[in-house]
Amino acid sequence: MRRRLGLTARLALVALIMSFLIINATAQTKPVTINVVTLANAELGDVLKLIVPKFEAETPGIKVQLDTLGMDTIWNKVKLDYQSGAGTWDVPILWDWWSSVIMLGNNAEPLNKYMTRDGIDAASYVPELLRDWTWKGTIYGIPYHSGVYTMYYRKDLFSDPKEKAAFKAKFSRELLPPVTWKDYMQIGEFFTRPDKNFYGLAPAGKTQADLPFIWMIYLQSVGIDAFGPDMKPNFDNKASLDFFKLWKKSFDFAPPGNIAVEHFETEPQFLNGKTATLISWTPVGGMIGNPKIGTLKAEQVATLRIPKGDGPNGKHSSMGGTWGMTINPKSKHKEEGWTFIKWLTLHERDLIATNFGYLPARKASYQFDEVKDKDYVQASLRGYENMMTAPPLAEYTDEWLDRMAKVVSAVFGGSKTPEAAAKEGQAISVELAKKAGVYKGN
Amino acid sequence: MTIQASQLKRPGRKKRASEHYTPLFLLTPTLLLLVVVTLFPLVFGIGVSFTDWKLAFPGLHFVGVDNYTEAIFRSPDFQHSAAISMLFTALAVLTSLVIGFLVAIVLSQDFIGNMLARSIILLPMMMTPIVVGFNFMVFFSNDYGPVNYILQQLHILTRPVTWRGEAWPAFFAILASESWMSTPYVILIFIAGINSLPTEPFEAAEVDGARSVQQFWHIMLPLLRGPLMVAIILRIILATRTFDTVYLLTGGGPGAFTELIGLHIYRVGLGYGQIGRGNAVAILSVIMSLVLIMIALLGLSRMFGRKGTSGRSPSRRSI
Repeated sequence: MRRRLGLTARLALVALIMSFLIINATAQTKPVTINVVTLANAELGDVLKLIVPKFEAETPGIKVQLDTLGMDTIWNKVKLDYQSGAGTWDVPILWDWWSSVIMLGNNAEPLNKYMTRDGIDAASYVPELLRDWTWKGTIYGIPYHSGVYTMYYRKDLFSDPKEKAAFKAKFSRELLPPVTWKDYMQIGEFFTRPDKNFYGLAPAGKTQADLPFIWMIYLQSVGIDAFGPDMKPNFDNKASLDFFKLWKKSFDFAPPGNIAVEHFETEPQFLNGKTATLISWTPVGGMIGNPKIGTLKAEQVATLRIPKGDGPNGKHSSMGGTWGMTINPKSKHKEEGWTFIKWLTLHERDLIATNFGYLPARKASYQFDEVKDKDYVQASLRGYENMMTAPPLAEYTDEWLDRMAKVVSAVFGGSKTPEAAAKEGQAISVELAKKAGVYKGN
Repeated sequence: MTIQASQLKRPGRKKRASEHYTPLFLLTPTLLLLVVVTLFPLVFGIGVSFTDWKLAFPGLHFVGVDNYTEAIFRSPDFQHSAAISMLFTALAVLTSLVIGFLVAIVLSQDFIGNMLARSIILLPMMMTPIVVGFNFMVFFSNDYGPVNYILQQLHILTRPVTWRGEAWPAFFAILASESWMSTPYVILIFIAGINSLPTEPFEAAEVDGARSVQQFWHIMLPLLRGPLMVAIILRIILATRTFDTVYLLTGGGPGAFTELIGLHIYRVGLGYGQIGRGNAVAILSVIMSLVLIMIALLGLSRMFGRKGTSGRSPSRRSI
């Protein structure tokens, strides 16, 4: 009996040790999983879903858990994650308008050492895109995908002889793609045919960040910088009044109800042939010809720069932004996160992604035929000239965007006059620029 | 040996220590839970409201009452939000009380299908606010919404209204959606109240010759003072908490016209990342709700007097 017990105990001990060794060995060979978060849309979330399996196949030791979130939730959730210090996501891929909070709040790992070690040259990036991810020489994000505001129009309608004749009869000039804001409004009026459920323009009026973008674009298009060299805001002026009047009038040439829609809701309107023009981000170009999204074919659409002001100071302006790949400083897998980021920077990734409206952030990628031959890509390159990005209002950027959006939307909704809106926009911009410490004047 | 009852309750008998502390000991887990879930967040929130805490930013400094003075005196958005929320709450309460009371009177009667009718009437309160918001987005849609279509067919409207894009129509749209969702609570309260009314006062009044309107005004309403008070308080709380439907339906627009206080707190606290300011606005909204409740209760007292009567005798004309 004693001998049996002693044998049993020895066998149990051996089994225990073996289990421990097996578990330990398994843990060591188990792949590391990195958590990545980005926007749920075609050119970011969908592209990453497509190419992540390729990354996992090429780097067997790393798995990627990809979370895609809507624009109205992603930033709030990431901010809460930063605040909690949980480090839920190792690689947040975020919009550069949030970069101030990310950089100044120490919410991203500096990447210079990784780039130097692995030979990724900062100069290889479009400088306007890398600028927003750099603070005092330290790079906190690698631009992955960018977007520029551009204009889309129905080139098939503009080249139709009947349309050309009718336009000339009405406006005594040739039907050409709009160059100035006056052209834009005439084209809007001409193509607005409610009985055929077809409209000339596709503005959006709901309170959203795109409204202050358009305001800034208009000001620059007539030669006024929204924020001057000393960061002095310039919103209370005649040009702002002209903007409000023009943009409010543009809803007369838009599908009914556009005053209450979000910017993204105007894209299907154009892509399904309901409007003749659209001012939107360049990734829309990647959606043209996709039967799941719209009925328009690529040969029906062309791009051009956003209209400029009518006067001698008029210039084509644009607003741009980029989604940057960052590493969470609370991440337990920073090296693996960097491996994923580095892999995404390769040109081959750009070739796949440009089929979805993605816009490369590295200059060299624009040399590939598959990239540069796309019309929307060319539009983006044109848009980089005079491109504005977020005003450097640090942690007050979100507040500025929201309060300015409300001011603009209130004019469209009829609860504020253009004069009051211009004054209020100026007051908000001065207040927040001062709070951010970037403007010292009155 | 039997113990006499007198021995058990001798005057002057001292309680044992365990008799003092046992009830407290048994209540402690519940009290702890209450403190953690309700008291701690409230006290923490009040404390944070006196700081400049920003989301995802290091550092936290005491700023005194700056957040409160900024909201009350220097923030047109908060001032508008508070004003529109108070108007919204007043109208929401009134709408629900009137409609809820009328429906409750009908549903308190005996008729075939009464139970089915009650179940259907209560469906809105079982729906999640997000679903209600989506449904009302469709109802008030410019292109395909039934509201515009029906009103135009009835010649009440000559042109479609952009319900979500124009100031007062947007306000009405969120009022309609919120009232639709919350009125069933009021109906339930009134049904319970009406069903528990004693019949004797009504019988006596009928014998005295009081008309229906007089019975309603001088007997039913005063007797329903309790349920009325509960309904008003509940409606005020529900109305001031409105967030989901307004977020979905109008986003607070056009501009900030329909940005009710719940959405404003969300925008400031989470959207702007200004946690300190957000908490200050939240505390102010609680104070606002309390003020509204006090005004409502004061109004009720004046209406019914202290003893729950109307203070006026029924007319004796018919006698």
